[in-house]
Order: sequence, then structure tokens, then C-alpha cells
Amino acid sequence: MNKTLEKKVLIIDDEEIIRVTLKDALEDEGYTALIADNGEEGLDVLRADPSIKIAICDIMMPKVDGIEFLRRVRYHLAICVEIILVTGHSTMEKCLEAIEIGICGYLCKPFNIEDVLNNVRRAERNIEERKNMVSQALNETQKQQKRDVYLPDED
Amino acid sequence: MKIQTRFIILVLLAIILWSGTLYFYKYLEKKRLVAFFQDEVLEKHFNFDKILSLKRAPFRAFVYDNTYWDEMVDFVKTKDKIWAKINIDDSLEAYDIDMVWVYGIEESLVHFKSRIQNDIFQTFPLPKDVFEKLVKERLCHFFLDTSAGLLEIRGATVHPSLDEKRATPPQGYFWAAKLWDQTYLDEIKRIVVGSQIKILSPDEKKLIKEDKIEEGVHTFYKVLFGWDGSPEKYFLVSIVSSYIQNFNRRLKRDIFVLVLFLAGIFAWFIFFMVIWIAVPLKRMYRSLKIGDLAHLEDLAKRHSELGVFAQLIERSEKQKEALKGEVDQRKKVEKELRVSEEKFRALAENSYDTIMRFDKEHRHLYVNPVVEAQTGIPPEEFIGKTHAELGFPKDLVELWEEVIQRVFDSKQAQRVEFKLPTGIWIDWLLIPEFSPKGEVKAVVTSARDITSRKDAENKLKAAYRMTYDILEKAPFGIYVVSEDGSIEYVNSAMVQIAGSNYEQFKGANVFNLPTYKEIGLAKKIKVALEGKSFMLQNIEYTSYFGKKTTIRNFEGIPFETEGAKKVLIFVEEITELKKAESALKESYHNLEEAKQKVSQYAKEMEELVKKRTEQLVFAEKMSAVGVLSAGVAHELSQPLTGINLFSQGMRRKLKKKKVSPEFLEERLLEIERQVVRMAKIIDHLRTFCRQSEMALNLCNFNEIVKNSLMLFRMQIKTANIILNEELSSELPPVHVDENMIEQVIINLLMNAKDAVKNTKEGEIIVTTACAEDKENIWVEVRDNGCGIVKENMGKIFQPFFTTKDPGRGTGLGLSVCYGIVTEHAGEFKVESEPDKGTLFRVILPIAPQHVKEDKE
Repeated sequence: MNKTLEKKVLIIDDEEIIRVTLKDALEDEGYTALIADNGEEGLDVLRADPSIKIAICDIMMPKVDGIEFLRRVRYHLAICVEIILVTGHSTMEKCLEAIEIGICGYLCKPFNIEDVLNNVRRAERNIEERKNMVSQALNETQKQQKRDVYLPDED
Repeated sequence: MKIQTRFIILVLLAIILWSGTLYFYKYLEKKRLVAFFQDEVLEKHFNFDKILSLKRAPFRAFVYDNTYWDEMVDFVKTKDKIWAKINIDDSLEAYDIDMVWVYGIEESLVHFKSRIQNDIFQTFPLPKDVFEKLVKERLCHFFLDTSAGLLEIRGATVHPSLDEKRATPPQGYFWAAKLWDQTYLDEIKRIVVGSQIKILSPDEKKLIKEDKIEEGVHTFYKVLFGWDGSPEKYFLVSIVSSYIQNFNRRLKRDIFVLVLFLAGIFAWFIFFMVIWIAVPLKRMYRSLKIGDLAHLEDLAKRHSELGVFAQLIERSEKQKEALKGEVDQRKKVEKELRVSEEKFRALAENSYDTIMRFDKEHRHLYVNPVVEAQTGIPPEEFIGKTHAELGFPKDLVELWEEVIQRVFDSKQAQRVEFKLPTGIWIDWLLIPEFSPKGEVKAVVTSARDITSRKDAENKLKAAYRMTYDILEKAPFGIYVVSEDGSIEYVNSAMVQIAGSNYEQFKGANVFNLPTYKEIGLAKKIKVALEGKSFMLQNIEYTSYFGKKTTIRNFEGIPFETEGAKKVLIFVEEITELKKAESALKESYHNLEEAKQKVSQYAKEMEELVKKRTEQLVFAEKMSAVGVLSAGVAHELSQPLTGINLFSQGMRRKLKKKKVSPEFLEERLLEIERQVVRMAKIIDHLRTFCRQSEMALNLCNFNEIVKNSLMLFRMQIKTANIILNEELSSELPPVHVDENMIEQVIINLLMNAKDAVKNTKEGEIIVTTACAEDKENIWVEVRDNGCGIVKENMGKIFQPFFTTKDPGRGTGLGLSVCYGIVTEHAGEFKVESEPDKGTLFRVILPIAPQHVKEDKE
């Protein structure tokens, strides 16, 4: 149950062909792929389903573009989503901006399925590592708290 | 609606609201009370049941306990009266039983004892069937209605002591009864305080009311069954809650008092409303209507506001009377004044001159009607206004104001001439009008139309000027010698012939000139002064001023003006003419040569311009392609990615061997579609880039616009701009070079995109339509961007003019567009407002044959 939840991937692209092919490829690999037409819709999907941890997002889109989407996820929603940006026409500025905000991967069109899958796997590894880190930290604090309880009263 | 009515309605509403609120509050309180007492009443009900059953327990015990007893069995057989007295008769009072019957096994009466003296109870008052019932049930309990009252009867069969269960056949029958007389009922009533008890027959059952705790009464009943199991009587108990009943009574009283109180207030209010407001208002209204003050006398004595009103009305009426007298007086004086003024006015108004009067602020106090003929403004509009306010030209106003002021300052009459804008010349005389103190009070002016005099003067001047000009422009030298030999007039040609200047020539005296003496001219002129003309021909001579000339004619004509004798001399020179002739020929030749050169140069230039223009158009197109390429690249990368992913996906599926021919076909079809899409884009871009001579074709105009939009849409996608198309569906074809027109539209679109760059909700609307005259069609690109500043409007079509950042615009876009559109015999229309947006409209003629079709 938990395993399948982690395997959700959100695809945001205004090009139907890209959405269809990516969804196909990811579902072939056992992922559950959700799709959105633009950044705004993508944000709605993320809000509705917090179990989505990975998103593949195009940069050039009408309304809310990829960078804006990234910024809103990071600064407004403040949820932990690994984002892989995809672009058909990349510029160094945009790439740098995206890295500064924080992305997991950057793909230039046309890309290969393997590239996408590698990026998605890396994102999964990141999530796993973060989860481990968090649980470790939690354990530590719990231990600390237990110790605190048995401290003798001062007064 | 009258104000009183409104007040009354308001008060009524307030009363209703008040009583409503109170009632609602009471209702809530009652609800709370009822809820509170419901539990108490139910508890009373329960207690009542309990105590009643306890009260009746001894009766039950007596009957049921004494009937399985060996002694009783014996008694039935022996009928021992003493035993009966001890064990039965004496116990009756203790157990609160009224009657006892004991029957033997044959249903014969063995013993009877009654505490009530009534003959009907001698035998058991029931049919024999009762015994059968008793035998069957062994114990029975029922009620019986008799003429003496209601009897509660309990029966039991008699058995030996050991047979507690009454299993053996009955040895006898034992009946006991209790009469429910008034005393017994009172006792029951006393069980619960405040309860009421009633015995009802079955016919009266409908009298039993529903339980109503809100009214403070809890009612319940018990069925008292007869021996055959049918209800004999009903036993009705009502438990009363005095709290709620008290509350209800108090509520009724409260509401009654409240209604009475409010009705009192209402009546009171209306009473004073009528006395204080309605009656005085009515009186004031009536007195104002008929103007009779008698109604107001009482009212005016009061110190209320309405009293003050009444006083004011009285005072105003008196003032009205007084005013009426005053007005009559004034009318009389005014009439006298008018008569005297009319006399003066008739004088002024029949004058041919414009007569005006000004005050110190230079305002018109009086103007006579002639002014309209001179200025075109009716006299009544002048009064009270200055010249500036009347809108005369500024220079005239300044002159007039200055002159009027001069009269005020100097206290002297002034005179001035000027020309009105209507073309009329005016001679204006201004005279000061003194006050008794000797100050200038006003200025009276008289303006005379002197246009005809001025015209004559001007004509004379013109005639003089013409004569002068003729003489000056004449190709002959002309001069006039007066009697003493001095030069009275000389023209410029003569000055030139003599080689001197004007002053030198005028200062000379012909009698003293040695050169003249030499050739005898001086003498000739002297003779001519006597009245004899002369003429010399072809003389070579050096002038006094040192110039050598050849004179063809030298003619002297005597004439007289105003009694003075003069000689008019004509001199015709030959040299200058000759020179001029040859120079003219030469210059004509040069001119011809230059003309040929110029036309050749123009031809070359024209070709160069054509070539350069083509280059310029192409360069601008390439610059547009550069800008578009980013979008095109993005657009191409989409299908490429699709194809890539499709083919990779297929390969993976093939490897896993889970691929169906249908799936393959579908995917291959999709790849084909994507390839076609890419090819279309590339093909179109290639067409767009082609540099070619202008080639006019019959085109569908919307097709051109759509192609432009296709290349442009990719640009706009990411810029967050809304692009709307409103393409007219019925456009006749145009005869244009579609490639060039496409370039124009793309250029306009790119400008629009740059314009809305910083607009919050950028919008570009592309419209095509047929013009109303049916001879043109147009395409319009409208944006809501930054607009064009007014200073720049004239420059936008100039080459190299750009407002974009350096390196971003060539400044050629619109000038190239302009060139293309002009070549197509079309025109540009631009409307723009800074910060509102810009509209570019390209108007192109419809292909001629289609214009005709349309018109037919």
C-alpha cells in the first residue's frame, strides 16, 4: 500500500503528445502517472493529493510556466516534491534560476525514456534518503525525550 | 402621506414589536418551566401508583392468604359462627374490607358479613357464571357497579393449608368486596398533593382529555375491569402543577396590563400629536392658502417652534404688504426715468456712428445698434462686458484698452484709427465724461466707419506703387531733370547704366557734368526745358562715373507738372543686352546637359533604391526569423520528443515481447502525424525566408493571417499573453504577395508582443474584415500595451527609429512594412494612446474583378 503511494508521478506539459508518451513510459515501469495541462492545474493536483512526491514539468507553458510552478511549490505550497524540469529550448539563465530554487533534474527535449527514468529513480532515492534522515532524527529526539523524563526533579 | 400618519404607524410598529418581544420572552420562560416541572409531575405519577398499590395490599393479602387454610376448609363444612366472628368478621375493619361472602362447594352461601347496611348485598350480587370463572382461575379481581356504589371485588377458591398453589379441587368459594365510596376516594386523593380523582363510566370516556403539561395538569387514567373482562369504569387522576398554572395566570394578567398600558400610550400620543402638531399645521396651511392671518393669532402667542413659525408667517405677510406699496412707488419713478432715457437713446441709436460708454473697468455701459453692423455682435451682448470678454482679437483689445486707459489717465480726448476683423476701418473718438468731483467717471466714444476713405487712400497708394514699380522695372534708364538741372527722379536701370549708385546720381547736376557738356547733352537738356524734345542715337560715351557704354537711344521729353518745367529722359543701352544674350545661350546649353545628367543619375538611383529596398526587406525578414526561431525550436522539439519517446517505448515493448500490431500501428500513425506537423512548420518557415521579387497572386487573406499566426503563436505561448482572433469568414480574395503581407503581419504581431511585455493581462486581438466601401479589406492588430507616445507618432514609419533597447530592434520593421503596404496600393492606419494600447490597421484593395462581382 505504502509502496504504491510513493510511486505516483505528476506530468505537467501543455503538449498532449509529451503527456501521452511520458505517461505510457512511466506506467510501463509500474508508476502511477497523473497529468496536468499547465502549472496551475498541476498545483491543484498537488494540493488535492499530497502523496505525490515526484513531478515532471515543462518550462514553456502558458499561464503558470515551469519556473513559476517550481517557485510556487517551493515557496507557497511548501511541500516536499521532487521536481524534474523539461524544456524544449533551454537557456542558461532559466537553468540557473531553476537550480537556485531547487530541482532534482533538468531534461532537454528531445530526451530519451532512460533519461526520464534515471531522473525519476534519483528523485525516489532522494525521497528515501530524506525519509531515513527524518526518522533517524525523530528517533534521536525520542531518545532524548525519554532521557529527559527520568531526570530527577531539581526542586 | 401625512407626517402624523407616519408617526402613528411608527409608534404602532414599535408597540407591536415591544409586545411581540415580551410575549416571545415569556414563551421561552414558560418552555423552561414546563421542562423543569415535567420530571416532577412524572415522579408524582409514579409515586401515586406505588402508594395506591400499597394502600390496596392488605385487601389482597386478606383474600388470598386466608383461602388456603385448613381451618377455612373446615369452616366451609361446619359453618362455625364463632370461628367466623373471630377470624373473619373482626378482621374486616383491620383489613379495610366492607363485605365478605363464603360459599360452600355447592355454591350455597355459608357466611356473609357486611359493614354496610344495605339489603342488596345479602347475596352475592353476581350471576352464577362468576363461580365457573373462579373455578377456572382460582383467584379473581374485578369491579362491579351497583346502586350503592362501585365495588372492588376479589374472589378466591378455598384450599387446604398445604396446597398453596391451589392445585386441589376447590373446597369452597371466598368473596370479599370494598365499596369505593366518597370517603375512600378522598383518602386516595390525599396520597398526592394537588391531585384530582374522578370515576367515569365507559360512556364518559371521551371526556378524558389529553395530557397537557403546558397548562400545568398531568392527567392519566386506569381502567377498572368488570367480571367479564370489559371495562366497567374508568379511574381518572389529574396531577396539577401549581407553578405552571400560576405562571399561566400571571402571563395572562401581564399581557392584559401591557395591552392596556400600550393602548393608553397610543391614545396619549395621538391626542398630543393632534393638539401640538396636526391642528397648528392645519391652521398654518389654511392661513397661508387664503392669506387670512386670523387663524394664526392664538398660535403666534405660543413659544413652541410652530409658534415661531406662525410669527414668521405673520411677519412675512406684513412685509409683503409693505413691499407692494414700495414696488408701486418704484414703478412710477422708473417710468419717468425711462421717458428721459428714451429721448437720449433715440438720439444715440439713430446716429451713423457707433456710440459706446465705458466704465473704469472698461466695461460697456451703453452701445448703440450701429455696432452690430460694424462688429457683427448684437448690442445687448456688449453690456457689462469688456472687449477681452467679448472675444475680440488680442492685438485690437490691447490697443483699445490702452486708449481708454489713456483717456482716464490724461483726462483728455483721444483719437485712434484701426481695422476691425470684419474689414471695416474705424476712426475712434474717445471723450472723457466727468463726475461732479472733476474725475473721469466714464468714457464716451464715437466710432465712425471710414472704410470708404481708407479704401480710396489705399487705392491711391497702390496706383502710386504700381507706377513706381513700372518705372523701376523698366529695362530703360529713366530720369527726370528739373529746371535747375538737378535730378528729381532716377530709376535703377539708369543708375546701372551710369555705373554709379543711387545717391551719387541723385546728387549730380546735369548742367555741371563735364561728360554731358562734352557731347552737348547739357545744352540739349536746357533746350528741352524750353519745350523742345530731342533724341540722340548710338552714342559711345564714358559716363561721369567712369563706365563705358554704348547708348542706342537718348531721348528727352519735356513736360510740366504743377507749373514746374521738367524733362523726362529715356536712355536705352546696348551693351548689357548683347552680353545678356550670349550668357543666356550658354546657360541654356549648360542646363540641357545638366538635365540629361540628372535624369541618368535618377535612373541609377532608382535601381539602387529598388535593390536596397529588397535587401532591406529581406534583412528585416531575417531579423524576424531570428526572433521567431526560439519559438520554432521549442515547437519542433515537442514532436521530436514525442517521436523519440514513442520509438523508445516501442523498442522496450518489443524487447519485452508484449506488443500488439494494433498498438504498433497506432504509435506509427502518431509518429507520422508528428512528422507531418514538423514538416509543415519547417516548410512554412522556409517559404517565409525565401527572398524573392514581389509576385502578386490571388490569395485568401485569412490564410495569410493564419500562417502568420502559426509562426507567431509559438512566440506568444510562454509570454503569458492572450491572443484572440476575430477573422471574418466572408472575405473576397486579394491580389498580393502573400509572403510580404505575412511579413507585415508578423512584424505587427511582434511589435504588439513587445508592447504588452509589461502589461499585467496582455492581450492581442487580430481582426480581419471587409471595409464598408466593399473595395478594401483590412487586418487589424490591436494590443493593450504601453502605446506610442504622442511625440513619436510621426516617426514610427521612419527607418532606424526604434524605442526598443539597443540591439533589440533594427528600427526598420515598420518602415519596411510601410514600403510593402504602399507597394500593394494599400495604406496604414495607426491609433495609439499611451498606457492604453495601440491599433495597427493595414488596408488592402480587393482584387479588382471581385470588387465588381460584389457590387453587382
